[in-house]
Amino acid sequence: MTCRGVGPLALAPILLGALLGALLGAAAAPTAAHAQEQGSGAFEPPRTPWGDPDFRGYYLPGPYQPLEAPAGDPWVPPEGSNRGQGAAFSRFFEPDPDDTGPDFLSTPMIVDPPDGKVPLQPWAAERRREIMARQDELALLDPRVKCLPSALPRAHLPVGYNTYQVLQVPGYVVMLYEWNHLSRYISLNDDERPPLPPGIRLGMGDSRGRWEGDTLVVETTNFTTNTWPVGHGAPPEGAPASALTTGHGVFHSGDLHVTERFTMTDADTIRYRATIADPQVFTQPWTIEIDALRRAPDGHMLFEYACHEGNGRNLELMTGADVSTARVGAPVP
Amino acid sequence: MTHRQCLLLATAAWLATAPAAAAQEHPGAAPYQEVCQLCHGDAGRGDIAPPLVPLGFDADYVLAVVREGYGQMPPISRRELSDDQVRQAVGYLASLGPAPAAQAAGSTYEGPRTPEGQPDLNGIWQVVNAAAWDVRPHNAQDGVPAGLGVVENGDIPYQPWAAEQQEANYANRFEEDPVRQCFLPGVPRITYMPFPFRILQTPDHVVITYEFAHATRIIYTDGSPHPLPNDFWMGDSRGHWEGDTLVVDTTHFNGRTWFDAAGNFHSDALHVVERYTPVTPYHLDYEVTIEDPNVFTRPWKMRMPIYRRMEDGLRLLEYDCVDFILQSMTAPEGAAR
Repeated sequence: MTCRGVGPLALAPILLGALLGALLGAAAAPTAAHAQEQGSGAFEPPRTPWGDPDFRGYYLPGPYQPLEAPAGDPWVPPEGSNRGQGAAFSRFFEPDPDDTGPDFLSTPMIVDPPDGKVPLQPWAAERRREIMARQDELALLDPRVKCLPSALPRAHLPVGYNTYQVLQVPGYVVMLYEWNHLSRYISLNDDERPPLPPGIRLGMGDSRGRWEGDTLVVETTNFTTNTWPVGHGAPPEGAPASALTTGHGVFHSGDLHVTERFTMTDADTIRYRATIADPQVFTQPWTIEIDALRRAPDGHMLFEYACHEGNGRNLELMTGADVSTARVGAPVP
Repeated sequence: MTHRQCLLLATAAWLATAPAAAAQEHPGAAPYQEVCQLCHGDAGRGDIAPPLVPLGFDADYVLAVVREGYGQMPPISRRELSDDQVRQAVGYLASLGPAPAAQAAGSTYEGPRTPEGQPDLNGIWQVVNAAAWDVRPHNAQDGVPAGLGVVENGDIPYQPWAAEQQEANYANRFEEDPVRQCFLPGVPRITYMPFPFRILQTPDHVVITYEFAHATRIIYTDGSPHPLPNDFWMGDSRGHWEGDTLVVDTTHFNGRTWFDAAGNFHSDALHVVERYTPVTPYHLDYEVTIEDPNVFTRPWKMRMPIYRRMEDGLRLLEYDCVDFILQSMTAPEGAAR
């Protein structure tokens, strides 16, 4: 039995991951250059019986990697720290001593703009600082710590218990996320689906997909506004402490539009590129690119991640708010 | 009859009848018949204890249950049944395979089928009744519609202490109902919550996503057994097809969920068997067998139709209960973002 976040273990849904990442000196992912060299259509993915690229299976998240370029002076990795540690939670408990890991790299996930920073408008940068200064308030606390949906592209950023199952049927790609039992039905037949009314909002948004060659391209809108589109990327060993929260506090408006591209670059890896647009908050659309889905070992399955059910004490410690006293209406017919 | 008495009687019965029948049988037949049969029935078909065919458990799980006990089943020592004998008995039960498709013979389903020949359940479905409030017959209250109930053959067969517990649950339902705390509703309550759910059917999975609290059940129909004991709000579900019926066996509950908003409850020994039988392309017959020897005097059943939602462009929307909890805790300004 694994020790992943089930039941009461699901105490600190995000900070635990950050902490583990920091303790491990978790690091690195293939360089963008390395990635390019592997990719660019060289790999021919398997096909489903109906002819689509076959992405079905279980996946672990990619390795830890900072979201933004670290603040301050250019940061140089310490001597000898040329190994990464996979982000998979199960590998934390049973590290593979033979795993040499990927090449060390502190490259930020953000590939555009080139400075590796989230292009916040000035007012939004100020708001972000305020949000981060007030993480001890329930209203401003990281939404994932509160067990709200992870939204996009955050659901695909490297966190230990983000494991995935991809299912396909003709007309749909369905993604199941272990974290907080989230799921997405990605429709491939836009013609058959009228758009959602603009006022209808979903935590994971409303996704429409299409195949461009062997790449699954997904456009998602209609997000709720109570989530963050990204979260932390745990820093490589020796990175400044501020890097722990490189993706924290970035919020979005109801105009968030995320364009994702999933490309299988070898039999076990899906490269993930996401462009995040929200003209109310950002000065320009910005893009991350990571190897976000890595095929899981045989026998992997998704366990129940009952997030909120075990989260009351955690929230009380972090904010003083006792949610165990809160009750909502029991829905009736 | 206690389990211990069962074992003794089973032994006696085996001694009396075994020699004639045992000649060419599976090596696991004898240990099964010696220790397990009187409670679990001839060829694992069930008796006062649940059926074991088709066997939804692997040998490690069975071994753990045999040694630890489960519900009214006491632990059984290695002296009574060695590890090897348990494994042989598991092999014997597995060799009996899934029960013959008794339902298929009487099936009247003429709707669409998957390439594998199973009824195609893909789509969005919903129960329309008042079971979410109370699975038993009940009159209306303010905001609560009346219902004839979904429990077959009368009332729920609570043990006396449990009947009292249910009354206490009812009295405290506004405070104690796990759903009012936004906890996952468990099975089968999630089915008849007043929200749609979506079935995704592949050859080896039936995945059900529910609008309520974006709950998800991944039902494996690949013949895999329940994993080793663990506990989950929604249990661990393994399914198989018997003719046109999808049979889902769910165990490994944490005992913290209720059946409805009226305090009907169970323990962590809950074992749920759901039978989803398409009658037309537009509705399923949904039969649920509830077993929990800690709480009930016998297994009991619920039954209700599940209807296909027919609206064009329909999809699951969102009822993110956690957000409502948080909103109730934060200042109205809530300028959280």
